[in-house]
Amino acid sequence: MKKYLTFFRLYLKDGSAYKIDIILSMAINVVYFMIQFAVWKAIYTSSGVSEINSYSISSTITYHLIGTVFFKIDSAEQIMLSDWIWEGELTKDLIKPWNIKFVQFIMYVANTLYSVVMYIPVLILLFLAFHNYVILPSFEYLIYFVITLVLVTILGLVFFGIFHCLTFFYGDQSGQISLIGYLTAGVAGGFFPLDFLPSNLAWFFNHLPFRFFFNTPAKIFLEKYSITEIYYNWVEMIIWIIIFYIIFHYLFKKGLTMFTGVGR
Amino acid sequence: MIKTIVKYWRVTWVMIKNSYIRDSKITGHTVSKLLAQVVEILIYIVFFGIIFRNVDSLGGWSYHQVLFLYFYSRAIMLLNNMMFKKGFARFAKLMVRKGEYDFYVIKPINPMYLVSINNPQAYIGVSASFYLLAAAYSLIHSQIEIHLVNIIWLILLSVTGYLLYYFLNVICVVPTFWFIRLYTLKDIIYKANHFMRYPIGIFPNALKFAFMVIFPIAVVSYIPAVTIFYPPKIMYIVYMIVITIIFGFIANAFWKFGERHYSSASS
Repeated sequence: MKKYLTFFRLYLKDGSAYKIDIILSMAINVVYFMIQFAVWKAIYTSSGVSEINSYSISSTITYHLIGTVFFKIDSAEQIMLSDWIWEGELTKDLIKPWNIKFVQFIMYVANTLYSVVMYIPVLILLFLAFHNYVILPSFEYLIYFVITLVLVTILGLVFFGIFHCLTFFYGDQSGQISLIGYLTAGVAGGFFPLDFLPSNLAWFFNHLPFRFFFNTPAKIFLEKYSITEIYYNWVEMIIWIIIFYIIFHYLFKKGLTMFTGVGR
Repeated sequence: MIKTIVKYWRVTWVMIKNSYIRDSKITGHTVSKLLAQVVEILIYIVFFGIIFRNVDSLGGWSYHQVLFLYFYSRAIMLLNNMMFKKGFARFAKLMVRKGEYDFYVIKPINPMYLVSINNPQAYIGVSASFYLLAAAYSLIHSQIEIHLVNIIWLILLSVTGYLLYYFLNVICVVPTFWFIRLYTLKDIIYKANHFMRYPIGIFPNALKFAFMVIFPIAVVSYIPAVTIFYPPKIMYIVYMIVITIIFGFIANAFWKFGERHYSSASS
């Protein structure tokens, strides 16, 4: 376990090596959020409505603010497996006395943790700037939200890990992974709450596992779920994690037998 | 002058041809990227549909006008990305850090142009055409009478907007000369360009000023879009042309200034 902890620590250090990059990245997130804010404020102000499908302006703005956290997790891009397979880098890990899947998990957690933790000051800043429009949950719901965040991170790894494994079979998958990431964000409520969709579409997307990447955690933050519904969502997430993990594990094992170690 | 233009055109053409050959060998990858653009168009049609179920206009613009602005701005961005995105990304990530910029400085071509053109992606031109079609569809359905003079001005201002977007892109990546490796620089323009996609009227005055004057990214799409829907305002047109020329000078001077801080791979 010590070697994994050392690797985790080193990987965290590597991520923090270029501080200007991180600061700039946060500034960009602020700009993006301000655009969302301006758009939704204009919509609510010019329409004169106080609620759209049970979302007040504050709920919608908070939804987008929380959405920026999930864009920071960005499972599709945080996993390095596809690049390592395609560039032959994985060879180095195959000859080391450690579990490759676990190393990938560590890297992914380090990347995600670093992005999210470094984003907290920005969130606080945004909250102070837009406090009239941001709804904060009770402490109890904040805990539920954090637990959901952890589950979402694991779900993201096993789900996108499947597409990374396809590199073993079909070569470079970076285009497909970006596409799946984009599509997933769209149907997960990354651009707007799924409840804004026409009822039949909303029903359909609310029964797909992708909703866990944005819509569900944001709704937990907004306290739009009862405690029972939250537990139900967690159980469903765990089931999806198991299903995706089985597929990921199978593809990874099968893929390793086809891996030639030749980088492109 | 003509010899120089021919030289630059030949370099550009060779790069595009290489890009086509490269893209045609990775069909799956290319098709995925194209599919992503189609999906984005559909997502935003749904998105604006949702918005306009609740409002009659956004910043004084109707549903089809907003759709036009959105798709038109995406087309301008994509046409720029087709030629320059990868080149700038490579510059921000690798060229200065690894000293690859040496290769570009010693060529008898403006290094700023050569860097930006070094890795075009021909298939993005196809994506841009999807957006242009979607913009044309929105224009037709806007039920606003469009005159020939509006179309002529739109074409001229699109060229100006394309150049302005290019110069702003240059300004965003020049700090790489100082910071050596700054991955995020390549993303600034792609986040800031969200200001191009919505009617400027919805933003607070401070942001309007910032993105119409200081970093005039909103000008790229907003003024051409206004010109197609309403009688052309000479003041807007002159402003757009003047600001493009000014930012052309700024981009060029900033690049040369940054270049002085370049000290090859030892940097």
